[in-house]
Amino acid sequence: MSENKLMPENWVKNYSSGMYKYLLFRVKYKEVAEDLVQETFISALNSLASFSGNSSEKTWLYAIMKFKLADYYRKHYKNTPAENNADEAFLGDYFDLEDEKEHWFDKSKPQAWHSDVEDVIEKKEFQQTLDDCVKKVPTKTASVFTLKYLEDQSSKEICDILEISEANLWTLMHRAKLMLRACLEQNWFVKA
Amino acid sequence: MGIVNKILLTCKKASFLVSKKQETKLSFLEHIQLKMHLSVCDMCTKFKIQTDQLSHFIKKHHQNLGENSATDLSDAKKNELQNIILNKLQK
Repeated sequence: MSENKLMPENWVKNYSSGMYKYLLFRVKYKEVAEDLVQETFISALNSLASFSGNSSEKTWLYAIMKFKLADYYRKHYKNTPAENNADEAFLGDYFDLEDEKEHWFDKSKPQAWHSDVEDVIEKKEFQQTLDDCVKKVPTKTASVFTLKYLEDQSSKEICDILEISEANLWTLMHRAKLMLRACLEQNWFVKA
Repeated sequence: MGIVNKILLTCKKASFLVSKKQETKLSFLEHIQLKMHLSVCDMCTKFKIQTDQLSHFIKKHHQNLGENSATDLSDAKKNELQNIILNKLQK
């Protein structure tokens, strides 16, 4: 029973704005989001025959779009030069690797956060600080973070999309957390 | 001393396990090692609490941004897309 029909002549009118917003929020660049909307429509037109009618037109289009988006994430990840920091060099900013106990450095050790953590997220200034901190995270590291928190993907799905190992994923997530935590602390919670 | 050293984690390793635990299940040994470390290390305990809060902030922030996004495709781009679709349909 194929009750759902495709009406490509109405796609732009019905879906392009929603798709564009969905994509722009994720890929950040206007041009990339536009290209992905266009690629989605073209792919969809090339595979009209594969539409079984069991799902709605919108569900079908969004599935194609998400496939394109995953593809973008993967390419973007692969094409970004390796973040040259070897793990030890990166961690050497936070921990005293010369010492066998590998303690936190005084300058980087987690401190008590004084602000009211519950309500802070509703504050515009805090959102701006968080945004600024997220932007400082190098691209490859940020990709993993985006997939987890924006796309709500499981570790397994993230590894599949980016074609990385789980160990690699944990390392990148850990780096992102070290950086973001420190940045928020310096710029908000323990601001001098 | 040898065994104790094997069980006691450094802050570098403990903080990594804190992050790892937020992504996956730790092995039994890792679980015990982390628990022991956190019971004596105030800094790594703070790291754990604050990175949990961080996850919460990021999720909430994304929700806010998603709800408030106001930008739209330009009319020019919409026209271009409409023409691409119509051309392809005619072929």
